[in-house]
Amino acid sequence: MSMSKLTLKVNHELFGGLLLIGIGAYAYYHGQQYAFGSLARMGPGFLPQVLSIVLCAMGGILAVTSQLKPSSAIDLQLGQVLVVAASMALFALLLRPAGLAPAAFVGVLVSSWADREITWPGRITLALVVATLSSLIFIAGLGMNMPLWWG
Amino acid sequence: MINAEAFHAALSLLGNTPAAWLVVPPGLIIGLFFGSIPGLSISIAMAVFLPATLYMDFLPAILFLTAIFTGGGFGGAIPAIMLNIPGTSSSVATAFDGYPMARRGEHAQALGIGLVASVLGTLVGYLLLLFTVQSISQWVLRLGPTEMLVIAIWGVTLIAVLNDASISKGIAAGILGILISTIGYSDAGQMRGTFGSMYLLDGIPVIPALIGFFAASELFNLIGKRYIVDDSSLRVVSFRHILSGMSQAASKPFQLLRGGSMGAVIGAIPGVGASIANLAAYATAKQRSKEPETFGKGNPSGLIAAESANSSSEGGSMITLLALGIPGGAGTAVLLGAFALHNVTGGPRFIRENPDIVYALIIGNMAQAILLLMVGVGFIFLAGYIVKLSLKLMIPIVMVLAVVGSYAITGNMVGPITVVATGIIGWLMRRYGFPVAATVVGLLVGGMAEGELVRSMQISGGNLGFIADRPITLALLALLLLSVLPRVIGSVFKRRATPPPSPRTPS
Repeated sequence: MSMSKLTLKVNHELFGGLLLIGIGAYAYYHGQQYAFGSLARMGPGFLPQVLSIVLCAMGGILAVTSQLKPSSAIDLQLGQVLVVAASMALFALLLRPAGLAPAAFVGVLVSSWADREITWPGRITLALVVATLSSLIFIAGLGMNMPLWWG
Repeated sequence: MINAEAFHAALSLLGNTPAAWLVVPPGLIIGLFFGSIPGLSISIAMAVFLPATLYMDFLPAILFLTAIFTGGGFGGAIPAIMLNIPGTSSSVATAFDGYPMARRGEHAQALGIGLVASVLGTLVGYLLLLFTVQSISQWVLRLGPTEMLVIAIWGVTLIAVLNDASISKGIAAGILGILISTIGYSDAGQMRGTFGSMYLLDGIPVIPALIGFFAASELFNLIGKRYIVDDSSLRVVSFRHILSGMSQAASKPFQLLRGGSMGAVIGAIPGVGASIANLAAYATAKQRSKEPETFGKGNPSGLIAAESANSSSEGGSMITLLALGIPGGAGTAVLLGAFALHNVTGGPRFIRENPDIVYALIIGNMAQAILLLMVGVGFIFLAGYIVKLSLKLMIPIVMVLAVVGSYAITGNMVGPITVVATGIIGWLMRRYGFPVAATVVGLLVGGMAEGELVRSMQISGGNLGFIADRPITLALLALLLLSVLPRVIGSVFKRRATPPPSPRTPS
């Protein structure tokens, strides 16, 4: 399975500018439920609303200037990043129920998917080494409050 | 200049805290290790090891992190000299003359020169801090809420503006950080932006967010990158050559001092730091040299300038951090995170109430520099092997540290989830050219800035014209404009069509 197939090509300046406008507009809309107050007595909504407007302005500048410059596309290696992000989430989710050693083993095993060159024995060795080392450091060494194994 | 009483208290504090010494060698080695692997940065190391300080007192915690900082400073020089790949942006100028020396077969001498320059640079930076911290803190005590607000804005703006990204991207990144900091209870005791989730009552957990933005996002960035290293001749390192390099550097005290003092002063400016200090000191050394044409061809003076300046900027940036509570860069941002973890607020009040801790930090850091001299020599022997370690081996290690560390901080799944989420956001930001350091600094100082804003407007009764009666505020605002304006004008008049060639060589 080739991970490099899963790439996005977009004009990143325009995309980023529009995204900022979107975030700013949403934050402004959300911030309206908090009192704005006045300059002398600022409410909790003052700073978020003012900053959202500036954020929209920055997004607008980016979106406009993106059309003045030759566009350059960026390769997002989304597939590989998602594999590693998912392996981190999996590791974290397994930490409580399964214990540190199994969670680290599974997490490293899954994350090695992003590496196209590593062999199966290499994967398992790496996962075993990391699981052992982290158990030694965090539980035996630092005495952290988390289970080593399930049960 | 120096508060003698506090100085003695600091010495006895250091003497009675063996933990403060125990954590320094591992910190130096971690810093050397992460710094010397091309592609990893010091801020990754500091961020993923930040949760480990949960188990330490405040003084050992900060000394541990500054040891990583100091070790990483020299660690970055190793791949710069041996492979022409600056391990961090602060060793770009190190490669200019270090790599030509290595190509002549003088890599061991070059590493020896770099080590002595790093050690002396660190000492110069902290000496400056030692002599100025007392008077600076007395001056800072006179600053009111308006001045502190301008300084906070200055800190975020300089980090946002003084980098390769466009100005609007930098400002947007900084604002994003401040907006994230408004989530949770506000100063007025009202909940904001929690979206009804009880996990967000206390806001986004700052330290996991910092780990996500600095470490996880960089981790995602590293996937698929590879540094090709195939020169096996560089493994031969002899002790005699290291020593000859060290004495070569020690015989040029004036150049060491010049680079060191430039680095310390530049480092004290928020947002500038080591990545500019090494280039500025290199340029000065070349300009003042009698034989500028030999620079870039393996002149040891260039190496001395670059390494002494990037190391001394650490001490300089500590001035801003301790006196004002404002981080000047990624490394000090992590230190501010450690302050928060130990419920310590940096700033003039901290210096006034705990002068012994402040002096102990400074003396401890100077002792660290001396220790680096010994640890560094040993490390040089291993350097030839470590620079060739595959980045892929480091990915699972950073991953495990980030998840376990953030779990330890929050005690539940909120920490790791924050790391993964901010990691993906930070990765996207990096890919699209937004400076993540600005977001982190915005997140760290956002709460303080909002408090100062509300207070200064209360004092003035909402009248913006009152700043005309505050000369310090006006002076600070003028400084802020002066430091930002050249960059703004430059970007309006000559829009770069192509980005400058990257000194790194990812394939």
